[in-house]
Amino acid sequence: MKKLAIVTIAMIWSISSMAQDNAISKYFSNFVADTAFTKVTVTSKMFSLFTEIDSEDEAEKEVLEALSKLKGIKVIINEDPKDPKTLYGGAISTIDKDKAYEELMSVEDGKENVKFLIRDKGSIINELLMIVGGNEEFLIMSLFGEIDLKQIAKLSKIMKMRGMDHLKVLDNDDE
Amino acid sequence: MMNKKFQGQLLTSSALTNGCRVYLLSLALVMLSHVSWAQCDAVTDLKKNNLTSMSLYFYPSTLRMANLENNEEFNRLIQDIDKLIFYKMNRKFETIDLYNLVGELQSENDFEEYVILDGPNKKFYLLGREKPTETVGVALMNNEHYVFDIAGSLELKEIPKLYEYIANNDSTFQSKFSQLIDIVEVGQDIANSNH
Repeated sequence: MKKLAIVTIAMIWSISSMAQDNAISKYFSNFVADTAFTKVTVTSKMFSLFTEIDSEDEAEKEVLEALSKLKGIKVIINEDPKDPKTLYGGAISTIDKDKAYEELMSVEDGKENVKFLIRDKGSIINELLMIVGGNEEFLIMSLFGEIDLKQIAKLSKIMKMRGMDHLKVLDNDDE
Repeated sequence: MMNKKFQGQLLTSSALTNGCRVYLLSLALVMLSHVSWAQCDAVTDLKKNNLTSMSLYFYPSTLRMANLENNEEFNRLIQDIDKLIFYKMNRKFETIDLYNLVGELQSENDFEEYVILDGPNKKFYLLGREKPTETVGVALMNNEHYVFDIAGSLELKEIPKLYEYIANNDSTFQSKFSQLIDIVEVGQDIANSNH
């Protein structure tokens, strides 16, 4: 029975992580297989549904357009990490080896370290990667597709997902 | 305007024979039954296989009843829902059954993944298909399994606003929703005791 469960889970996860277009599928599959981690996936199908939404509000329209260009979001979270510093350091050094990722911003406030990285092709950002390491949480979030950094911070207002609040620091809009 | 006499003629003295009327009536009933049973078998079989401890069926009218605060976002969210099935699963339904149901929906019923949350204590799988428009959610929360199936479409844009509303009025909303479930459960108990 257990074997069947593992096969079924593996099948579901292999379907959802078919596109290796993000750092989590590429480098952190060991965390995905770890049952201590919570895994979150929002698929391109979900984002494509946003294209069908009509909005009269201009600001809402812009966010919906930004959302419709996303191919997916993947998040892995460990809410009770045994050695958070090692996890965070390990994740950073893994990503540092891939020269396609460029650091966008770092936030260190004593309790928690947050690092934002991007992977781009020409003028288009294909992935925004966020790595969070604190005493109580270790989190990696990858947003991939076509990313508009101006709109991405506003996602935190729309998607009340764990870790999304960290994106607020990317908001330069003084509204 | 069609006069009443002519309308009456259409209904009573038309060229339709009794046999034709019975045939058309049967056809209409078959079509209606398809509309009302639009939910896929993988979900409705859970009830047939005695894996549920509570089953609730909501229609547009009953969904609006759940909105005791008359929240506009909620009304917009549910406006295109034809029917919502909500099952609380019993102990016979285990986490392996959750994965099997998700697998079956994908492999045999053309459902696609929308959102997946899989953690040590909490699991939530949201899947959907377009023809017919149907959304199925399977969840594990507080050691209880839940399955819901929505025939019709959800107004996605209203979800964040509704989420915000629930977060701000969490205790009020939950207590009112649980009151409604209590009423339905009492109704079910009465119905069962009468059988």
